[in-house]
Amino acid sequence: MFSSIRSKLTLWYTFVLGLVIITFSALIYFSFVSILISETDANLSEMANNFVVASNAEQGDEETQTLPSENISDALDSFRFRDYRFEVTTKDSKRVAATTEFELPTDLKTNSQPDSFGSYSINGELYRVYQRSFQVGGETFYLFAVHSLTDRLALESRLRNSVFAAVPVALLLAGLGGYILARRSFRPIRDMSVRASLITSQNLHERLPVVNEKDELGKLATVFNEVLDRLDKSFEQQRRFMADASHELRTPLAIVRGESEVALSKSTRLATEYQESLAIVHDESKRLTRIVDDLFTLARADAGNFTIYFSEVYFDEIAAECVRSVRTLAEKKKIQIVFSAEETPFRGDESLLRRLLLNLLDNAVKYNNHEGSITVEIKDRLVSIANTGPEIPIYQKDKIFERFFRADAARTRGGESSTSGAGLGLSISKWIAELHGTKLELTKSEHGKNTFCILLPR
Amino acid sequence: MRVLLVEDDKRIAAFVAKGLRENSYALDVAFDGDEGLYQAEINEYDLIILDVNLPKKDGFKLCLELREAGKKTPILMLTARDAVDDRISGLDLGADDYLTKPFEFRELLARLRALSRRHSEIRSPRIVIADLKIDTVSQRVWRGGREIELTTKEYTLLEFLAVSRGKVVGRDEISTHVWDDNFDAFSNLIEVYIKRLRTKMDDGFPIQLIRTRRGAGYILDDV
Repeated sequence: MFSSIRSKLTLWYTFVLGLVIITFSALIYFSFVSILISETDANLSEMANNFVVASNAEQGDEETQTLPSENISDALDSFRFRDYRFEVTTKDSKRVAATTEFELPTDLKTNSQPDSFGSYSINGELYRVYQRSFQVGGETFYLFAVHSLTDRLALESRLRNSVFAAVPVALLLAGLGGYILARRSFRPIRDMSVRASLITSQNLHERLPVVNEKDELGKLATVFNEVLDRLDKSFEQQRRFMADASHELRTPLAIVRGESEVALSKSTRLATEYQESLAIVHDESKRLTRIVDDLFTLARADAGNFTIYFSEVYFDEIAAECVRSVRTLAEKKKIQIVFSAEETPFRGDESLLRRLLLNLLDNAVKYNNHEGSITVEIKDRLVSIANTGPEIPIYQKDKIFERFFRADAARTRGGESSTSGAGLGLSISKWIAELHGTKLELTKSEHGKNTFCILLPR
Repeated sequence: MRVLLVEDDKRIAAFVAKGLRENSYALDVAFDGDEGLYQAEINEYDLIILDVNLPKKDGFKLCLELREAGKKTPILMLTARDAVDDRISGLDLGADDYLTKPFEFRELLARLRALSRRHSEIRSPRIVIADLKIDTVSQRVWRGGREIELTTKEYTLLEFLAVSRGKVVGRDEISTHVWDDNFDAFSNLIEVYIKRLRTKMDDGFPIQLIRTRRGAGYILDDV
């Protein structure tokens, strides 16, 4: 139970408050004690002074030749106070007169230090003793004024007892109050955590209630809701991606399954029919592989754990190789490729750059008209790939880079499905360009000319 | 059975067409929504198979337009989308059935049979007229307990006549439901097939099931 912030806070609060109360009580107690002592001492010294005055008066009154000791004795007889007792000794510690019913310890009398206070235990009782010297009739005497501390001790113990009783009660009350206060201020947090624990991937659109958006808890709830917003959005994106991905995988799968099932539904067919079916199944499984590869690349790019090997390359050489490899594909559609490039050193990942160019060139062939042309140019670090395919409508200019996007025109060419991917090529290319600190853009699209551009950073 | 398939993926269209033709369906294929609508307007189809993702006009819209135009032809939606919402909106827009890709071809055939039964008076997969028995699932035919071997086209024609039992069906009707778009209206193909059917299933039996109504067409019945 002490693991909750509520309890910890209460404990700390009680601990600190306890320290304060105890220090404060001790301070009061000790100053009270010291006041009591100094009061006792003041009384004692005043009494002693009065006695000395009285003794000297006694001596002065009697013009006779009575001994100073007798005068002192007389003075003492008339000098009676409850709780105050006196003893007078000679210089050599001989008792002259006393109102004490007990003997003062001899070591106190022999080691007498004039004008000093001290506490002594005599017959099991504590006494405060003041000693001073005085002269009567030319003789020096020592006066010991004694006051019992029993009353004072009783007062002290009463004070102590009440402090000991009051401190725990005060602490208990403070602790209880602190706990209730902490619980009250933490209740909204508890409510929030209960609400938050009910939010799963299934109901991510639910939000925490914001009671007062200006206080700390309101801000916390707002921040939490913002996190939920982002989470919701990315979950939604993921869900759409999954739906699109499964949609893209379904078409080739349907072909593989349907084509083979129809082929097998008759017990005998011509060998050429089987060959045709197998060729289609083979093509579609290649397409499936491509889609899965692309999906995997994007998934890894999203997760951010794609290993990239940067090295010094010549972009024009990579472009030349890519152009060579799409030539065969282009020739089938009687498409001409015009390639011109100046030497362009660049730092990048060779295989990714090749993939980017191949995607663009592949599209340039795929979406081109029969007997069209493709112009690849690298000049002043600007790479442009232009094809003579149909215009991309303006509202689709950004959309074409979105995942799984395919223009209507492209989809009607579904017959050549072995070459068509899942509509992921451009978004992969865009990602590769961004990885290299640049951007892939469709800079121009008009009838008979679509130009994709990448400006290579130095 | 005359079927219209509207599907933009040529390979899917190809195997569906091949499989259906081999199962005695007369089939026309349209590759986009507009073409599909045009075909459905000019021809009388027994069944329409619609893909959802179509260029020019998607399957949902096409389905709605066909229904709004008063077409009662059973429609089966065929799509790679399998979200429940998609299925619901497809059915709500007037489709009769829904099949997601990839699908088992046999299931497509079974669903087409079920759809056509639902829209005709004959609810049983077996048609019995006198001693003629037709199993529409295995597409086998018996007369007087003896099985009769028929080609797919012969079977299609017989099934069509049997389904329209007791009704005179004209040449136009036959060509619409049994042959596809490539039928040449000036040929005597229908007469040739009727003659073949008669030779195979009526010759030697006391009751002639297929009879000719001169100037009107043909009728298959036991009275």
